Amino acid sequence: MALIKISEPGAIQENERENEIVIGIDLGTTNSLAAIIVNEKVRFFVDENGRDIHPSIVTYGDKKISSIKRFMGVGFTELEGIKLAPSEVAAEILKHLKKLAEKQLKTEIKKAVITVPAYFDETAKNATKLAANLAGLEVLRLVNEPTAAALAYGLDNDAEGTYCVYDLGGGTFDVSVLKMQKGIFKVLGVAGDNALGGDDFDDLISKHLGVSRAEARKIKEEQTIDQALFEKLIFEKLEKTFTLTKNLLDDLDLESSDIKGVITVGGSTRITLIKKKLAEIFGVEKVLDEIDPDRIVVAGAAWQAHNLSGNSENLLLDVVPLSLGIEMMGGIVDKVILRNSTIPMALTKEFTTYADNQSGMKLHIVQGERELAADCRSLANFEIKKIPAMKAGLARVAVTFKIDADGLLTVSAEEKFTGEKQEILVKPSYGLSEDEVKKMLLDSLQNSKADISNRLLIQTITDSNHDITILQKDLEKYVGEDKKLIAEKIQNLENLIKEKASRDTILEAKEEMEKAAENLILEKVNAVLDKGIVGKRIDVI
Amino acid sequence: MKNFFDLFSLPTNFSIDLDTLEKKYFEFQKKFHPDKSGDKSDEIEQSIAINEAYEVLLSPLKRAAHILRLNGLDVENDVAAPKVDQATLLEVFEMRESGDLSAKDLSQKIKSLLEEVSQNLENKNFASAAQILIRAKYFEKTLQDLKVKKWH
Repeated sequence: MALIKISEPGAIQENERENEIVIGIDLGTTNSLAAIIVNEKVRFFVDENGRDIHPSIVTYGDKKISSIKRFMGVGFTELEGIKLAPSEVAAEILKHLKKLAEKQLKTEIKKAVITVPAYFDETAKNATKLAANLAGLEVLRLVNEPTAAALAYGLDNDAEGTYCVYDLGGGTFDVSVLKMQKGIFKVLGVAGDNALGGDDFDDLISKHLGVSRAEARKIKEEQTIDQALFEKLIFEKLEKTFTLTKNLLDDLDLESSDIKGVITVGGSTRITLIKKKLAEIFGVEKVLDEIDPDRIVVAGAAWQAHNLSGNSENLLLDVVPLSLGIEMMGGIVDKVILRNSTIPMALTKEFTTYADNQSGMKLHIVQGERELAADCRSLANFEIKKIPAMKAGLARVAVTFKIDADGLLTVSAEEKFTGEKQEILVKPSYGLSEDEVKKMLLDSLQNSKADISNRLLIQTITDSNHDITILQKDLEKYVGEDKKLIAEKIQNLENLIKEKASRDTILEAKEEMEKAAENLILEKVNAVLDKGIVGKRIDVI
Repeated sequence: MKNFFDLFSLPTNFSIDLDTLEKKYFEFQKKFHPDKSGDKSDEIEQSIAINEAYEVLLSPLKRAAHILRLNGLDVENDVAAPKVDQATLLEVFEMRESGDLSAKDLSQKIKSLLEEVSQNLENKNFASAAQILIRAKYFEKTLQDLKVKKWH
C-alpha cells in the first residue's frame, strides 16, 4: 500500500531527528515567544505586525483568558465564567506560535523544545506536554527556564564558571545555580515558587490604589507610581525571592563569592530594587546587565532545539527540583530521589509485607520536601498485586523510580522472592482524569481542519479497499454480461488509490464501481435472503 | 555490588581527584546522555548509571559508605547496621536545646568526623570507620533537616 505506511516506531526515529525542524518555545505567564537557530543565530518568529513577543492571552467570544500558566496542572478551572482545562487554553497559545513559525519557515512544524519553570512539579510539566500534544506538537524536550537562559547567555559570552540565574516572570519565580564550561552546562541546584511573580505585584497595587488589575499593571510598567510606595508594597514578596536565593547557595554549600555572575531573567527583573538587592548579595559587578530579560529564555530553548537536532556538541545536565518519595505507615514520607539529583536518574527501594499472606501492597507516591505525605503533592497511587502467600517480611518488592531527561517520572515494581516482574507504570497525571484527557485529545483532532481532511481521505481509501476485496471475490463466481465492466471499474479505482488521487476523485470512482456492480450486488443480496428466510419462523426474521 | 571507582578508572580510595572525576563524568555524559544518544534505552541506562555513580563519588559521606559496602558493610540499607551512639544523640539534643544549632557548626562537626573516617578507611579499620560514619550521617541528617526547615 502506497498511502498508508506502517513502520516500526523506532526505525524512523533517527532519520526524523536529523531532518525535522525543531523550534524553541517559551510559554510564559504574560507573554510567549518562539524561535529557531539559523546560521548560528537566534531568529524569532514574528506576527503580522512584526512583533516577536506574543501576549499569552486566549479569547473565547468576548472573554479573555490570561495568565493560564498559573493554573497548569490543576484540572478544570472556572475562569471568566468559563469552565476550562488549562492545557486546552495553553494549547491555543502554542497553536498560534506554531502557525507563525510555519508561515515564516513555509513548512509544517511538528516538534518543539518547550521551557517550563524549574520549580514546576510533575503534574504541571505533564499538563504542559499535554498542551503541546493538543496543539499538534511533539515535545522533544522540556527545558527548565533558568537553564535555558543560562545556555543562551553561556553560548553568547563563552561563559565559564559557576553562575546564578534569578528568574522572576509574570507568575513564577525560579533561582538556579549552574556550572558552565565549554560545551557543558550542569545545573547544580534550583529553588523557586510557582505562585510568585509580576501578577502578584499588580494585585498589590490594585488593592492599594483601588484600581483594576490591568490599570495596576500599566501603572507598574510605566512607573507612574511613587517608587518608595511601590517598593514598600512589593517588599515582602521580593524578600521571599532573596531568601530562596540565599538558601539555595547554602544548600549547595556555596558562598556568594563562588558565583561568577548573576543572570537576570523575566520582565519583573526590570524593577530597580531587585538589581539593587542582588548587588547587595553578590556584589554589584556580578549582576549582569545587557541581557534581554524577555528573550533570553526562548533563545535558550532555540539553542537546545538546535542541539537536539544534532547540530552541536553542547550538553545540558539538569536536575529534578523536588524530592520524590513514598508514603510510609503513619503518613511519613520516605524520600527515594532527593531534590537536585541530576537527571536522568533511577533509584530502587525494597519494601516488604507487614502481615502474613499479604497479597498486595499499596504505594502512594508524593513530591515535595515536607515530612508528612499530606503536606506534599500527591502524584500517584498504585497497587502491587499477586504477591505470593508467605510470612510477613519475606516478600521483597523492589520499586524503581525513574526520572527521564524531561524530569518526568515512571515507576515499576518487581517481586524479588519469586523473581516475577511486575511492570507497573504510573500514568502521567495532568490534574485531570483519564477520560477528560482522552476527550480533549479527540476534540483537538476534530478541530484541526488539515487533520480532518486527511482522516477522511484515509477513511475513503479504507472503505474502497474493503469494497474492492469483496467485489473481486464475488466477481470470480459471477457470470453476468457486465462482468468485464465491473472488472474495469475495480481496476480504475485501484489505480486511483495507487496514484494518491484526491478524496473526491476516489469517491467518484467508488460510486461508479458500485453502480456498475448493481446487478451483481442485487443477485448476491437475493441469494442471501433466500437462504435465510426459507424454513424460518416469521417471528425470527 | 558495582565498584563506582572502577567505572571512572579511579583507585578505590576515600581521597580522590575531583577534577579527574568531573572530567570523566562530562566525557561519559557527552556520549550517553539522552540528548546525545537519541533516547535509546541502553544509553539512557548508561546515563543513569553514570549519574548515580558520580553523585556517590562526589559526596564524601556517600563515597565512604560505598567503600564500606565494597568491603561488606552496608551502613545505608542494612537494618543490622550499627546505630548512632548515645553520646552523639545527647550532643545534638543539647545543641538543639541551647538554641544554637547552626549549619556552620554542624558542617564543621561533619568535616572533622569525615577526617577520622578517612584515617580508619586508610588503615582498613572498616568497623570503626562505619561507626564514625554513622555519627557523621546523623549530624548530616540534622543539618539537612535544618536546611529544609528554612524553606517553609
